[in-house]
Parts: sequence; structure tokens; C-alpha cells
Amino acid sequence: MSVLLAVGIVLSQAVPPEPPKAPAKEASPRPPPEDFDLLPAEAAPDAAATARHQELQRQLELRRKMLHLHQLAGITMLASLGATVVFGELDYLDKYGGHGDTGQWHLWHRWTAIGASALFAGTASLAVFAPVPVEKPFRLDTATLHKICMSIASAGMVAQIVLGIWTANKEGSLAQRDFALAHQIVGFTTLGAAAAGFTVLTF
Amino acid sequence: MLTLVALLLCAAPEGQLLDLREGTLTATVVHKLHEVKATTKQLEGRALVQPGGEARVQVRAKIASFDSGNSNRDVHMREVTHDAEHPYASVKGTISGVTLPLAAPLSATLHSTVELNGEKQPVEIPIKLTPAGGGVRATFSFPISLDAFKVERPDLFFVKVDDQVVIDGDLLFGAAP
Repeated sequence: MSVLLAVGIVLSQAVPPEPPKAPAKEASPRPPPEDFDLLPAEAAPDAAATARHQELQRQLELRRKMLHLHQLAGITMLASLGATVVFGELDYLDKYGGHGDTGQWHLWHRWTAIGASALFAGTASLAVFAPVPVEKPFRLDTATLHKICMSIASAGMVAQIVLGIWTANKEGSLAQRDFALAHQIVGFTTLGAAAAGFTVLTF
Repeated sequence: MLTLVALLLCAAPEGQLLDLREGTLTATVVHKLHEVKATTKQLEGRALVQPGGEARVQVRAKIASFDSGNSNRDVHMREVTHDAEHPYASVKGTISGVTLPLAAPLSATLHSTVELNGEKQPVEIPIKLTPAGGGVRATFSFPISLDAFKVERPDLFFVKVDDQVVIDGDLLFGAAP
């Protein structure tokens, strides 16, 4: 066995003899550049390895499709989150900024917030449930920074849903303004974290 | 049988064999938003300098070893180059007029075949050889087309990367033991 292995190694490293040149190729100044092997050839994959490769490739393709959709959903989510913050600010100024508390922005804020929350959950799910078929050791790179930013944004989204409902239920109470202010601050923070998570991927 | 084995063992390749000691390969990919450099130091390579001055060179790197600073991007690159089936990117080629030891820096052309994604393309690579210790340092830079290698170009925010990728290399070869 070891003898055959030695033969194989020597054969793989030996320079093969030039093949006899056909008359039509005599004008060629040199043989094809790849017509030799100095490094050991890769082992031909067996059936099990081929099956593993196919499964790995399938998982990688599924991952890419999910992360592609994640980008599309993420851009839409960021736009809807921006709209939610704008309508929320208008709603806050209408109620507490001396604009007569007309409530004209209230439903706009509510429905954009519901839309943004649903998009946020969907976007996050696409990333969290995307298969990771190859080992990715933890390190601080732009993908990690994106995840950190979006984790902050996720916490902000949860806090906003709770604070938003709580603030709405405090109608008529003097404390409502304090809750509204907290809701406003957390809203800006959440939008900032999501925008940072988006921006970091452009580096 | 044993005689054949003995003969084969004695039949070392004619010429001077050099092993790749260390080096770096960098692929520069351009996107509308940024430029990305993916680098690997995990390289395998050999060069056989023959008495007539022709050198045969083979260098390869695992696609999985390239690091672009974003693990998602690296995994994506592995997918579009079908890393599971074709784990290596490789260059094989010949250079003329090489005599060891090098007396002075030498500019030459590596007439090569580059393999990526299981596809082979002929590439003429301008290469600079300089004496380094007891070996040779090779530096080079050449562009490849992702489309030519049938690599589906990755995209970010629905904008694909440029077709052209520039490969830069800095390799140190030393005499094989």
C-alpha cells in the first residue's frame, strides 16, 4: 500500500513527458500552461463527499436568497421606521407643542408603527433563520457591527411597542407627557441604531 | 515492481524546485458604495526552474481562506464560486528566461491558466522577480473578469459588484528541501 502511495506521489510530482505534437499544433510556441502538476492533485470526491457538497451548496444558495430578501425587507423597514418617527414627532408636537391637539397625525403614526414593527420582525426572521452551513468564528467585523446595531434596534422596537401602548393608555393623565417623551427618545434611538446597522454594511 | 518504484523514486524532476514559503494574495472587488479587499495568506505553491530557463509555476489558495472583513460577504463569495465543488482558485503557468540564483530583479510574463469556479481562462500575468535571501520574491497584479469565470456577481443593495477583480500577489519562494 505504502509502495503504491509512493508511486502516486512521485507520479504526481514528476514532470510528464511532452505529448507528441500533432502537425497542426507545431506552430504553437509552447505547450498549454496548465499541462503539468507541481502540487499534489486534489483527491476525487467520493459519493458521500459529493452529497455533502451538494447539500452545502443548496444551503448556501438558500442562505443567499434569504439574505437577499433580508436586504429588500430591511430597506423597506428602514423607510417605514423613518416614516413612523416623522409621524410620531408630528403627533407629539400636535399634542404637546401648542398645535391644538387635533390628533391629525395619530392614526398615521399608529399604522406606520404597526407596519414598521411587522417589517422589522420579518426582516429579523430572514436573517436569524437563514442557514449557516459553514463555520463562522466570532470576530469584530462589519457583519458583527450590523448585528450589534440591529440588536439595539430590536430592543428599542420592543420597548417602543410597550411604551406606545402605555402612553396611549395614559390619556388624560399628567404623566402621559413623560411617557410620550420617553417614547420619543427611544424612537429616535431605535431609528439611529437601525440606520447605523444599515450604514455599516456599506463599508 | 520494486525496480519500477526505485526508478521512479530516483527520477526527480529535472531542474530546481522551489517551494512557496509565504505570501499574500489579495482580490480587490469594486462596488458602487465601496471597494473591498479580500486577502489570504494560506497559499500553496511550487516552481520548477528548468535548465533551459523556463520556470513552471503553480500556486493555489482555498476560496474559503479569503478574508474580506465581513464574514457574510466571504460566505457569499464561497457560494457564487461553488466552493463546495471547486474549493481552490489556482494559477499555473510558465515563465521564460529565469536563471537561479537571480542576479538582479527580472520583469517577465507568466503565461498562465487561471482556474476559478471550475472554469479555466488563459491570462498573461506581468510578474516581477527579485532575489530574496536564497530564493525569489514574486510580485504581480492582474485583472480577471468574474463573468468570464461564470461567477454570478454578488450584489449589495441590489447593485452588483464590478465585473473586473484585480488580483495582487506577493510571494516568496525558497529552495525545496
